[in-house]
Amino acid sequence: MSKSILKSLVATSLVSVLVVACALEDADALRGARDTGENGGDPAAAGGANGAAGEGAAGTDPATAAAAGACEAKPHIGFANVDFVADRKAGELGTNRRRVKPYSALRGEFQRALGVIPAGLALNAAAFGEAPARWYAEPVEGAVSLYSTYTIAFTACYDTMTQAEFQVAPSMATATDGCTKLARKYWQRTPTTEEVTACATLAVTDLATETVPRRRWAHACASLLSSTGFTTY
Amino acid sequence: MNLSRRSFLQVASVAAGAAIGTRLPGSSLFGVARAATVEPTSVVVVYLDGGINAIFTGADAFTNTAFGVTANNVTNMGGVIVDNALANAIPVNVRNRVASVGIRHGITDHGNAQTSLFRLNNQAAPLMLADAIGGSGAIKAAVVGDTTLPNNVRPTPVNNISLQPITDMRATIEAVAGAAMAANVADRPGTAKGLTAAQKMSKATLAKHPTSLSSVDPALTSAFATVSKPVQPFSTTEFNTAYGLNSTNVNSFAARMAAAELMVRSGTNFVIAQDGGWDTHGDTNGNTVRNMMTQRIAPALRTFLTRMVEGAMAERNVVVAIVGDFHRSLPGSDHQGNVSSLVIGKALKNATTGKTDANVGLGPNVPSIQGFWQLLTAAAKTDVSPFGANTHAVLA
Repeated sequence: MSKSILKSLVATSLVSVLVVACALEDADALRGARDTGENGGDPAAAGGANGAAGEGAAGTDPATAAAAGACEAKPHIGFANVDFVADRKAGELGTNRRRVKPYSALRGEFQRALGVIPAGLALNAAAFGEAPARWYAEPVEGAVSLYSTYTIAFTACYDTMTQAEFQVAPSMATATDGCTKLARKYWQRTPTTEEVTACATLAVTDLATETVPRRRWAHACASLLSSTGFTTY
Repeated sequence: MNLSRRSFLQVASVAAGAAIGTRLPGSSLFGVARAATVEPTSVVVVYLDGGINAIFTGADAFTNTAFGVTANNVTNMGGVIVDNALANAIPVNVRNRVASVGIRHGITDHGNAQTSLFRLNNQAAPLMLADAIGGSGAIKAAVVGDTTLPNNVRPTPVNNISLQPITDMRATIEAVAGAAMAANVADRPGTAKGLTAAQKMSKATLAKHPTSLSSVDPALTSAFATVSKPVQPFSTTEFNTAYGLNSTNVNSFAARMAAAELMVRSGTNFVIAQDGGWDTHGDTNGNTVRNMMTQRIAPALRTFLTRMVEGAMAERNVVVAIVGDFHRSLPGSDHQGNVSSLVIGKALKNATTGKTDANVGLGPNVPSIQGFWQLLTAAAKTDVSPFGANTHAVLA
């Protein structure tokens, strides 16, 4: 291979990388079809149980990796040389990217988080408004689907929280530690102080009248699994 | 006495029955004073995606001239003359409570008509109406069997009132009534606290993704409100028997009407049930829409009207409006730039502002979309109308 061809190849590759990095106008970024491949769009299907997959990416935020506006939208020149996307406002990087997980993803996600697929999940399939086969509908959260998520999660949490640590009523110290670990596993990122405080306060203060320690832990667990850290991706 | 949590909740529900059944004045989750609608009030819109033939709102305009209308296939309800395919769904004792209301919107494309019929002053008209009705229902506006308004519109909440999707009867009943208690079943007070904590934990994420996750915060708020209310006992068997269903999935028109009844009885102010397939080009003799109305709509609609309008007239005010994108035009059953709605309820009388001429035209003084919502609000008897005063003289 001659030097000039090699140079051309390197230059082409560099340009390609830049184009991809700056292609903000991904048509599927917000409302397009989800991956309907062999895993049915389930992000957890390829990973192992107990949160092994993807945990290494915790705490990273794409919005902090690049300054907003660093990339400009690609022009779309139409008739009369008019760029018909010129009036589009550039969005801040990383905003409005998360989506509600569809029902088809929850099976694998519960398996990843809790190590089991809750029995109630299949029974409540219709509550999540899953689109029929070969149809697509943007998943939305509703009061009933969230209620179902919480109650399904509570039962699964209670049934799997058989370890000794969950048979003792949580203190602020143990709840803080427990909520941090559970959130880290369920959400695949490190929770913020405010998020941990909300979880620990629930377990220790809000549920103080609950006499069964395991139920207090199960409520904390269900609360984590009903928050956007788990129900969206 | 061995009082389980379940039986306690059931006893509590009886005690709370009056509060549930009585509409308390209110504007948000816990009844901030606003409207003074004194009885349980619901507006139910049956929306025919694609259009509604004028034979269902004023058939006599076409007698022996178009759409197969004759003197023998219509019913006269005090001057409101409706094709029998729909008239047969209206119980005899309710037929003096039927009016036809014209909407001169001038729109002939589906998307625009579907969006415009439910949007006024840049807000979702159904949510404005639900807010005006007030009351104490946890879910104040619901779409049954779907997740959006027509044309896939997901409306922005109005005064904390959001449109909640109802896609499964069993899960909805469980949310309203509570599940049988067991060690590994979540209790309602604990669930309410857990959902509040989940909302706090979601705050930062929702702030960063306000558009793509717009449904989440209203869902958390409505879920909290639902489990914070006294339980209301319902039975899936009752609904399945009444509407001839064999599952709790809200995936048919009959299931949508069953879900509409569930929501009405649980205190929801506005419910929309949609049905597709009404873009009936070429249906010059009207038989396509007659068959769809007879086979798909009428049986469940009749059950709903019998139970929720005729049978509950003394205890609640349920207004049912049947409408679509626009009327079907002549000669080819295409797109007419207007529509009329058949409105049924105890607040109505036999009168019409929606009868078209023989060419499916409405008079020049017939109001547009805002007038329709003014009428629905007046029929709901709210103190204040966010749409203005009603001009359709069809109220009893």
